[in-house]
Amino acid sequence: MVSLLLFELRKHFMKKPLIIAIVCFSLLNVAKISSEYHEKSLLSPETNLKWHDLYWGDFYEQFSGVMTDQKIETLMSIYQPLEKKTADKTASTDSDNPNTYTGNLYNDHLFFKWNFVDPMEYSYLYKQYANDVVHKANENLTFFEAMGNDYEYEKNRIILDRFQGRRIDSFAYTEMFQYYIHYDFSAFLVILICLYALMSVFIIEKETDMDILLVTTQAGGQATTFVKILSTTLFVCAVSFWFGCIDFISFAHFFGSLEAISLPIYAIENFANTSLNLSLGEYALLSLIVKTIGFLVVSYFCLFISLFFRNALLPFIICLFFMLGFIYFQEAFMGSERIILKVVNPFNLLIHRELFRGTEFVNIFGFPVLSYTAAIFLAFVYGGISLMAIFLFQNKNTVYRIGVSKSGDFEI
Amino acid sequence: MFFYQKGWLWVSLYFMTSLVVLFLFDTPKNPEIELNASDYHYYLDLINGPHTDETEERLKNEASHISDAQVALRKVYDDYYDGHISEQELHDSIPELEKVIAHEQGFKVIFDQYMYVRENTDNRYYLATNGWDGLLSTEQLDFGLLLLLLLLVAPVFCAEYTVDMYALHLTLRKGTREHALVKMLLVFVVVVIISILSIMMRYQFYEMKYGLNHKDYPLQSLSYYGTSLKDLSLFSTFLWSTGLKIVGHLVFAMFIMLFSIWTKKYALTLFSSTVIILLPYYLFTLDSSKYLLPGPLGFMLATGYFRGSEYERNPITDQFDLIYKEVPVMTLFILLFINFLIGIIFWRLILHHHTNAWNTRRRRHQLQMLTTRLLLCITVISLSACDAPDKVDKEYDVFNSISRHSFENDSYRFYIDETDVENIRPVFEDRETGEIRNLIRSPFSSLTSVENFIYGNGPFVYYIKMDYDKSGFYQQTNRLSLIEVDTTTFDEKVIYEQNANMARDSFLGLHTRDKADSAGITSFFVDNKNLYFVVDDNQIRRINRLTGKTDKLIQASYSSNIAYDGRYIYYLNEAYQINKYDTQTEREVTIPDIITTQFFLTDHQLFYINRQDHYHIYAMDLSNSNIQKVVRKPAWSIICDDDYIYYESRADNERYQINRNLLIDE
Repeated sequence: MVSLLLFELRKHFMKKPLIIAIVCFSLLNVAKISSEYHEKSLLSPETNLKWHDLYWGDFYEQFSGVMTDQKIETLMSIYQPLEKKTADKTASTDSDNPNTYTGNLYNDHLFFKWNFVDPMEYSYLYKQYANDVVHKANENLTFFEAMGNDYEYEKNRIILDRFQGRRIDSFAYTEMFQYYIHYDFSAFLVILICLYALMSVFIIEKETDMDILLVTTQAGGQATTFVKILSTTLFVCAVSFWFGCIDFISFAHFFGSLEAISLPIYAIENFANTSLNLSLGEYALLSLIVKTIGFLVVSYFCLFISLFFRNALLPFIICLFFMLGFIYFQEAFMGSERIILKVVNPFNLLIHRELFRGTEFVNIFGFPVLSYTAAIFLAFVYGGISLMAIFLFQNKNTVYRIGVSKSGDFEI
Repeated sequence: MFFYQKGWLWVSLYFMTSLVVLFLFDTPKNPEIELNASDYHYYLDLINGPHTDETEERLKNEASHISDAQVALRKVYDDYYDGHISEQELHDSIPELEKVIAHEQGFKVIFDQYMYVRENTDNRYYLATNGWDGLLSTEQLDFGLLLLLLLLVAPVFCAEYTVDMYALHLTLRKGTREHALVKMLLVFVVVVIISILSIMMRYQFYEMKYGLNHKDYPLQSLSYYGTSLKDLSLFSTFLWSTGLKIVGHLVFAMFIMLFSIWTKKYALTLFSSTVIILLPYYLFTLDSSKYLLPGPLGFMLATGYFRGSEYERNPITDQFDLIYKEVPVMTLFILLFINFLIGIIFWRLILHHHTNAWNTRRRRHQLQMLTTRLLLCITVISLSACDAPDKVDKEYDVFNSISRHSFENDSYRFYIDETDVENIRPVFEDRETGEIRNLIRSPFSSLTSVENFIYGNGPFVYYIKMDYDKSGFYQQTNRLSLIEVDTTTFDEKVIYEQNANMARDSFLGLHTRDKADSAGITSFFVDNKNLYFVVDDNQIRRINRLTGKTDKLIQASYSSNIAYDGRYIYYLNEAYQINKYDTQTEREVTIPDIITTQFFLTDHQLFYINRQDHYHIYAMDLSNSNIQKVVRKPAWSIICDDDYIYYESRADNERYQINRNLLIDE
């Protein structure tokens, strides 16, 4: 079995064009992440020449770590005078003012506001926000119990559990994770690679009419199908983890920091309502796993489609068509309150921030289930159905039915 | 290509699907033009063409005339109702004034166009832009055509390799260069014909739907090309873009054929061909970058070659960032030349590597394919069914836009609590216990906000919620949702959503922002088929709950009350009369004998301030149209509930309430 697996892996996935594609796409991915940094980061040289050195050299060490009253007072003692001076927009606009940090008073104001004051204020007030959520959820428990609405009662009980005791005690540089979490381009590259690589898994034997011969061998039939699926799984996981690692390492490299890795995920403002109580580092790992599940589901679907054709033309086009269609619907319902339409789309596992950034539920037979749980469960169902369908349709091979003994097929 | 490979099937499928997509999903770039089509065209006919001093004068005069006519019309009616002028004088004055303001909404649209044209009057002309915008102002890749070309061109050579006919064909007399030449020429002819038919289909569609007049007007008349330095007319831009698109499709076909003979594999051919289009399409942040690449993508899109440079203010650096760099004509010709060279080289390479083919490919397992297609169709149908709207079948409570801040049903009183200006929110009061609670039961207040008006009908209360996204540095409005709350259980259900995000980081950007405008909504009401948004207190826009199609239903003259009883919409016309619009038959009547400045509709009566009787409050019985005076005091406004009439007195501007059971009866 192991040798068969290695053989299948070598046959389908150790091809020169595929390896060249993976290498080229990896380089493209790094280039794209570099452009993300240069275009979006507040500290990139394109945004502001002086902010990077000022931030890391002069102030970050002073204000990072556990937020204390002393740190906040020090920050306010710098920020408040700047705020007063720039409030009425009558201050000097000189760009070579020696009494400023960046050369310009307004620039100083924005530097402290966007890099320190706003993120620290959000972190500081988050505890109050979480308490507010807990308080409202608690109120809802009483309210919905009185109303006899068990579904809403249960929903609020879960919210209460998830938000109890939340706080952000420390301040750290979160920009890297902010953009890492919202980065999708590598998922597109992985999809293209999978689309190409998987086309040959079942078709290669059909193109050379070896599929007829294959079922007459001892390791043919279901055992071969099983090994093909296993090798596909290993390949997809490997590609997904490879690009996941490139993403993480490249973001850490270009943004120059992993400082926020231990902060909770809700330290990112877009995730203020998340149901997860994970650190950003743990979320990065979870993100990789969920993405991989998504890629696997898509891959099994492509394998299933390819079963019915003798060359790659139509299955490639059909799979590409479905992928574009799924992406269209994924984008159409991004941010939607119609949770079920997000959950049923397997592409939401690839752009899974939609499932994780809020605390959203789907009603499964009267029980509130967190959207990401339902989406992952459905992904397993889709994957399972695709795999079963592959086995089912593979077994109905025309040669198989005309008399090869089943017992012989299962012996390896 | 067309029979053995079933090309005719894919071509027909492509054209049918494209046509259906165009009919179902095309939305005008400027919906205001279509919503106010007749009024807009009234003014457009007057100023069509280049901007002149005369045009400027005419627009300014018209603005002043409309404003004066509105004031004069109100004064004429006031004078008549106050007895200063006779009925004959009223009838003499009104037609002329009404004529001036008849097309006011169209004037607003044309005035917006004037604001654009006057920035550069040399090359910006007045014209109806939606047709040309639909045809030219888009950079969306035609994915259907991309898939069709892959389907048609890839098998031309690949089909022979997959069945190992390559070696055999080399032995045939005409099996080498000659046959390759014929294949390539066939591909060229097919690609050119499909490209032309596809472009002509779009041209015909926009011609029919919006009209494509004034072909000789400058390209810059469309705001999409506003900063372009190219001296082209609209039609010549269309011809140029058509030509470039055909070149792009031909180069793409050459790429597919080269990959075919190079790789001899379907999968690798299709993968490489897809990658050379899709990767540069999504890779670059600066849109214009993809037009500077040699290769088919830029030409397949084509319209970007005619756009001008565009800048956007960056609040971080306080400078203008380049967001689109114009492609100079010389660069375009260099790229054309490079693509021509690519074509020649590919041609030579294909001929060099060519093998003849004998397509004996037969379809097998047709039953299995049929099953698969059936399964896929069922999946699509079942997915589309997920979007079906929920049916609402219930009796209607009367809605008055003037009381959009409150609603009462048997159990609760809902209202907007404005006691804390920092936290204005909809709340409800239990009518039995007097307990007050928040209507919005969601514990989450971050990245969301609720509009300060509600609509209620029986046990259902509706509110509008805005959701925000902060995936980047700035917080963006993400979505407008209309939520239905069943107050028996306080379960919530989304009945309408509008994607309002222009700048969100989406995956590939295949689905862009909904073009329906959510700005200016001041109240709303719903029935089982439609939603009705009251915009700026005087315009009603109807949105079909199933299709999302928007149309302007009513343009009221005054920002007064708008009422709805489940079938009829009541609003005030310019003569201070109440019009009654039937939403089922789409007919409208004016209620006779009522002249009012403000009214309020209840289940059985229509209360109104009688303009002809010192602004005293009257009531009309809806069942028999009997009118009676109910309050002998002049009022500015009235609101009612089950027990009381609340009015604001004209005498002292104080608010009073009167028990409805103790009303006078005259």
